[in-house]
Amino acid sequence: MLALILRRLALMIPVLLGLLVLVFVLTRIVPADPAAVLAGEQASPEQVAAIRATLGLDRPLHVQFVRYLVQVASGDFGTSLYTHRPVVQDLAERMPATIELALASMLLAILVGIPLGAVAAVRRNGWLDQIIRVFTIGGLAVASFWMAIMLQLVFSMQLDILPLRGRVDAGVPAPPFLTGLYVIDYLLAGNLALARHALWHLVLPSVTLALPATATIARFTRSSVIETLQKDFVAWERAVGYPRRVMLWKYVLRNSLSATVTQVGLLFGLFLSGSIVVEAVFGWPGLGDYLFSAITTADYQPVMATTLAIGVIYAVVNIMVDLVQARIDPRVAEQR
Amino acid sequence: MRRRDLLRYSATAGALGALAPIGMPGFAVRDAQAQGAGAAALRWGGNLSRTLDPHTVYDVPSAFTRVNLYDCLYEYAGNPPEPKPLLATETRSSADGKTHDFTIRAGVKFHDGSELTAEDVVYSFRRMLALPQGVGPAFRPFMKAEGVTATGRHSVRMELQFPYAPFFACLPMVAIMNKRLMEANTVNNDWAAAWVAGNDAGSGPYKVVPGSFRPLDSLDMEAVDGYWRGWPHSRPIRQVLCRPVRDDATRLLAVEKGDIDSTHSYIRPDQHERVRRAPGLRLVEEPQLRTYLLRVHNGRDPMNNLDFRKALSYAFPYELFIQRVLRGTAVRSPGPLPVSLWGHPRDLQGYKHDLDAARRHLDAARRAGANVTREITFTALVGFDETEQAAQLLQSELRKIGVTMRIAKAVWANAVQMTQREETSPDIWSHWGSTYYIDPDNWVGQFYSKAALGTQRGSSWYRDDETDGMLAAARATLDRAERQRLYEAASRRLVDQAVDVWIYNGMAYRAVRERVKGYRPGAVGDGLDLRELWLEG
Amino acid sequence: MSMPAPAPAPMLSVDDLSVVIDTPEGPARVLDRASLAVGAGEIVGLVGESGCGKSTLVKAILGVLPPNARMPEGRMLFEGRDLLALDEAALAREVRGRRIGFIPQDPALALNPMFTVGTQLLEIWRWHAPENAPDRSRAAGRARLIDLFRRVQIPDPEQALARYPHQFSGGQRQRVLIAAALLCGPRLIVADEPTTALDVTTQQQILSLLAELARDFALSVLFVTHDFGVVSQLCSHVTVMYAGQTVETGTKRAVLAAPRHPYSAALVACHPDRMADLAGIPGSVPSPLAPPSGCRFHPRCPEARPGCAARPTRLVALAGDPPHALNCIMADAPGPAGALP
Ligand SMILES: Nc1ncnc2c1ncn2[C@@H]1O[C@H](COP(=O)(O)OP(=O)(O)OP(=O)(O)O)[C@@H](O)[C@H]1O
Ligand code: SF4
Ligand SMILES: [Mg+2]
Repeated sequence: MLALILRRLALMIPVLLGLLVLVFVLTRIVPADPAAVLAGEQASPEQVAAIRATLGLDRPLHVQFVRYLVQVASGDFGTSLYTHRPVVQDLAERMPATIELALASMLLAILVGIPLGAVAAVRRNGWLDQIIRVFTIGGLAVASFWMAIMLQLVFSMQLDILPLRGRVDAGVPAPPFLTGLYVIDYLLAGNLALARHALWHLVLPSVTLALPATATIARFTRSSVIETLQKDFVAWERAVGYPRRVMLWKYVLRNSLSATVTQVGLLFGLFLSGSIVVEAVFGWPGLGDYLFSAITTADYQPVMATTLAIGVIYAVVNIMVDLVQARIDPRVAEQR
Repeated sequence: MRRRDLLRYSATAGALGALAPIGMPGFAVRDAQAQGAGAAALRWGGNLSRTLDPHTVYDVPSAFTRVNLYDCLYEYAGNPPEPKPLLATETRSSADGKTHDFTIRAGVKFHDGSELTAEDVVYSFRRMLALPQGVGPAFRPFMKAEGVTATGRHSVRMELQFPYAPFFACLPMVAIMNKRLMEANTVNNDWAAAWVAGNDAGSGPYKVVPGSFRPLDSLDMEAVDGYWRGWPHSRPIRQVLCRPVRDDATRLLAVEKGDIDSTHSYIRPDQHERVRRAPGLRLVEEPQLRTYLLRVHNGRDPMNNLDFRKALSYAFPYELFIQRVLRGTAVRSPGPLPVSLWGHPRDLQGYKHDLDAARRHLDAARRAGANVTREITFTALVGFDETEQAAQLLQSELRKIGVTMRIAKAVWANAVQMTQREETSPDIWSHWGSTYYIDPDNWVGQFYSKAALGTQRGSSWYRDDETDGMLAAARATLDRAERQRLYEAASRRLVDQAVDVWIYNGMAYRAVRERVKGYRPGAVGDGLDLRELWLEG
Repeated sequence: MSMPAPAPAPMLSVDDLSVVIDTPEGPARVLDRASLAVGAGEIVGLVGESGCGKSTLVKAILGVLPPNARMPEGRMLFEGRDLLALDEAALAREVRGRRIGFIPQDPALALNPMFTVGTQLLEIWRWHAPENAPDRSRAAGRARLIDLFRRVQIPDPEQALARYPHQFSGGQRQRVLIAAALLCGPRLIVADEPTTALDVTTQQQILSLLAELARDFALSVLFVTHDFGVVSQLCSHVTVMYAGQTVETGTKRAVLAAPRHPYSAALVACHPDRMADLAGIPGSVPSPLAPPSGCRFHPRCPEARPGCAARPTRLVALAGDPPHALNCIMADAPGPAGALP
């Protein structure tokens, strides 16, 4: 298992390097001059040129890239032109928020999507399947921001049982930093009330983010359960007298999960990209918000570092997915 | 009513039931809230800059922290706002307008308790001049770091390269920073930029709660006891929690719910009624000096033809735009200056929407050999719907007189890039003339001097010696009456030459909760004086 | 229609059972009044070309027909109980695994790849440990399973429990499945072509193992196969099916030595396996969607005569010993067997 992890981590390096090149090129070929934006409207052309030179943006592209590589290799992801803080520091503040949201959404999507898909498969073409189908199609079709607003209107404005936005209310102190995930950090700090407070703040954004993923997972689970049900071993399990319930929820489901789990890894990318909208609507101070404002001001160091960070999260999650898959399917474990 | 709403929502929200089977008890969020700040705090929902450094950014949100965390030599006061001394108690200017001696108020304390002296003023100006972005670029053309010297513990001399009349209007841009504190936090000659991005080194009425600043996201400030200017109200706001809301829809919900006490000042016209009706809310109208104009490339055929430009000016449907798109939330500004500012000729007529006149000028342009059949391009700004709507209106009017115009889109950073070279600069694009310093020079001087060529300010590619001369003369004299005459003449000349299409002076609108009392908009951006506020109930 | 009434009631009897599967193309009458009997201690070979309905009959007995299948007529008695009267849950609870053991065709696919063999087999024990077992605990099941593994010659029985299906060879997997079938002490074993997927040597080993186990445990066996060689080696009785109909049934000796039905005769003559044509008889098994009327064999039958296409299917007992029954117009003749060539 350890060897597997190490091998996958090693494989990550070329992927991330490729990502780095891509992001670098993208941030340099967009026709937006960071120096001009930074200098502001009052600056003269000479002042802009001076800034450009200070930032090294006047050098040939390959020189800039090598410089950037050297910089990154030494663990320095640069400084934001606007916050004037090391990008790493900004990321350290914001990444946990995004991860917390993505994890909660993933958990929700899995816990709801898999049973939903399995039930739909077992009751194939029955009324329950029809209802679930409507839900899954709806879940994919509904725009996140619309969903977000509906949830806010119903649960926050009308019923007033869930907070509208943010990770905590204004004035509630952040927990001491341990994992960066508020719910967990409050718990570790022994503050149950605030852990609950943070959890309630997590509900609406994660439901919004989870909805399309839940639908996808449900659909995948459904078709893969249906496929599994055709398998010979299911006939055998029936013929030797496994109770139906046990057969479905223990044996068939486990076989179907393999496909679903792969899907979850891919969906995590969806969570990360979807979080841009969801973070904006729910005032969730994560990477999405940060990346958005960095892009709009051509603040290229944060753009590159954030993209890289998202790439790393994505890669790590997919390694974890592989590990889970190896646990589910002994054959996978042996192949690797 | 409530019940019916609920039914309506649950019908539309459809799938929610399936997703939220978690039986949520009426959890008292407020219990947890009570653990944090009480209701006595102002929850400010205006935008936050990405840095608290008052020198390196100069935008609408940064005025909020600059004004309330820092003091400056001058501030804007009165209506219309004029620069008035604040930390300066006395100002003496030489006859040639180049040398200015300031006496600094004694007894002003920084937040760390140390006294503000001439050294701090010198440090602050030198820092501002040294940093490449933000406030510095406005000063650097006429001022060098060596020109700022302390002539005593409480006196400072500033020598300009040449006489520069807008100088005093620029002084409220420069926050005075605590030199000792700044130097203690300087790493690698960075002028403490990294440190002061998240902390304050000021003497203003409020100070930053350490560690509370998260760029774009949150900032906590608390009142400074014994602030030298005093507190006008008996129960001023002790604590200010800045919690900007990024999303338009959520922002309104948040202020309606009372999660925040105020929004930013860009409440869209279509949302005004909703805010006016909402219980506990009021819509505050904040007059703006900000102008909105279409920039026309005067250096390129056919826009280099005066008649063609006049045709453009007559073709734009000003009233329609102001009434339909802005729902009447702006006033027509016929020339390059804000209508309420001195220097704007009161009797200036400018252009009206008149397609017959437009056709006449188009014919004249055609006869003069302008390539009026060329398709021209309007570059609208992504994320600023107004620019696109202006483009569409102009497009349809031009079509009526036989001019074809294409609409392209660019993000701000991209547009800025394009305007740096005459060849790539857009045929037409549009932007706002924001207030940096309140002086006619901020608009007409910055946009139409030859020195502006190669920046987005000079994107009209207008080269006119006479206008340039008037603008330079207006900068060089301290004689206010003479300056006013020159700006009025320059304005008329620019309008006669139809250099750009000037459209309106805007209003800003902010939703503020009723419990916030004493609210008065700031002169520049979000620079309101928080000392004047109190909370009721 | 009626078997010659044998003195003791058979352990399993299927009479005139029809199975109709509703397919998108229409109803397919996959079994048409099929009959079968397995007496105590008998090993009955069920033979017929591919697509004859052998597996369908097995599924019907086990109660695991697909959901779109119906049984519009017929009776099934097992140990005196009417299987058709039991619902799916009751079958799963009381019959399958417990009283009837099942050995599937393809050992490579029959086990769940994601669970250890021990987990899967003990799941059967968990629900079907015999009532009269002295100890019905999991540990007891384990012990019995290890005994059985030893009995079916699986090396390292203890470790074998912790292994996954893909870690066994094909023959070993079939042994595992045999052990699974025997685990809870069933009276009847139903094996659907248990050796077809194996190579010849392994086939032989499995066959002798089955014969040995049947003898030692005094089991009845229903053994589905294509191969008369297997029948002659293993079985005591034979039932021949064609296109969903039972065409001939009797003791091995009677049927193999003197097949009376033209189809059985052809089958015996050529020892067909899956791929081969019936000797001298062109054509193939008709689709159950549009079967020929009357005797379903009549389009191919060299003996066909005018009445065949209208003859209702029924088994007619032949006189004499050993018991032998035939489903053919020739048996309907008033005269005795003499009418046949
Ligand atoms: N689920 C089903 N849907 C439709 N037709 C079916 C289904 N199952 C079986 N059949 C049809 O029923 C007939 C008998 O199938 P069955 O599997 O019982 O044959 P078999 O005698 O076991 O063949 P083989 O020797 O190939 O295993 C075939 O024509 C088959 O196509
Ligand atoms: S009934 Fe007729 S067709 Fe059928 S097998 Fe007998 S002789 Fe042939
Ligand atoms: Mg079969």
